[in-house]
Amino acid sequence: MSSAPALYDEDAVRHAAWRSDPPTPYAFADDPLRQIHKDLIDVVAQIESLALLGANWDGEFSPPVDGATIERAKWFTENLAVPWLPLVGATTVGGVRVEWDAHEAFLIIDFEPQGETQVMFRPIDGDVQIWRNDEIPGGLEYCYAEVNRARQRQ
Amino acid sequence: MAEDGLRVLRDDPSLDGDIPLLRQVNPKRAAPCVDWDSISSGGFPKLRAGAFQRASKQMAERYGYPERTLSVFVEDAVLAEYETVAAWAQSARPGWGVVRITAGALRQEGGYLLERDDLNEWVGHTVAWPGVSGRKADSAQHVLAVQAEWVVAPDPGRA
Repeated sequence: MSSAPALYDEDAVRHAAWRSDPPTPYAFADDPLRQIHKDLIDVVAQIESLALLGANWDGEFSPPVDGATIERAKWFTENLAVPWLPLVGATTVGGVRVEWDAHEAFLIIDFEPQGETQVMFRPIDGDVQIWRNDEIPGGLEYCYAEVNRARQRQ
Repeated sequence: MAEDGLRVLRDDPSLDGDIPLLRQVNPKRAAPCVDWDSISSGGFPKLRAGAFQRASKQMAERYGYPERTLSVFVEDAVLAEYETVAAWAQSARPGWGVVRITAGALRQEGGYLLERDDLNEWVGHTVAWPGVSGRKADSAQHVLAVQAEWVVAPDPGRA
């Protein structure tokens, strides 16, 4: 019977066993799911840090990032079930930008104050499309998959 | 001045083609202008779409512009005053980066119109505004970021 591929550091597990201790979290350091979870925590922390970005961060009188908008962007990001995590940043209207960039294709989601959302998407070899507070044909999943496909071609 | 107190912007068709314009780039990690995790062989971070976001409504109101705009600077005017872009960058916003984009790219990709107005006595300041639709200008952010080239690297110490 073939065993399932190990998703953890077997040597670390063995070492932990010698010490008669239960495996520590470090025993799973090579677990790809664990790494994604760790990266996700970092991305969420970056979104929270946008609250520290003061007014006029762009030198052109941009307002500070709206607290409720940060919470919306956090909720969205925390519930992502994708292996490739986005870059995040502020927008010049006090919102939060969540962005996947694969050069020839991209997906940009701007969470704006007052609960508005703008999505900009360019598929491979396609034109940029913009949806504002609107249903996205094919859904965000399609957009993400298309941009991820472009990334894998790089 | 328009009846509502806002400026009437007048396009200058001579600002077109290969005329180089400069755009200042905030190095802060929280600003979506640069990706510090992607550094080119030349030592420049990857430019992100956020570098070409139109300014806030507050700026438009403060300076009497009728809508959200993009601020760029005519490179020739900057050089005439400061001799080098680096000297200008250090004087204007220390630590910020500077990228170059052509006037033609702003017009073609973003549908922008352009007027040099030396706003607030900033040498070479040029206001860019969407000629038709703000949507086209917004959707062009990423393309402009790809087409722009670095002139002055942002200071990673200010990220």
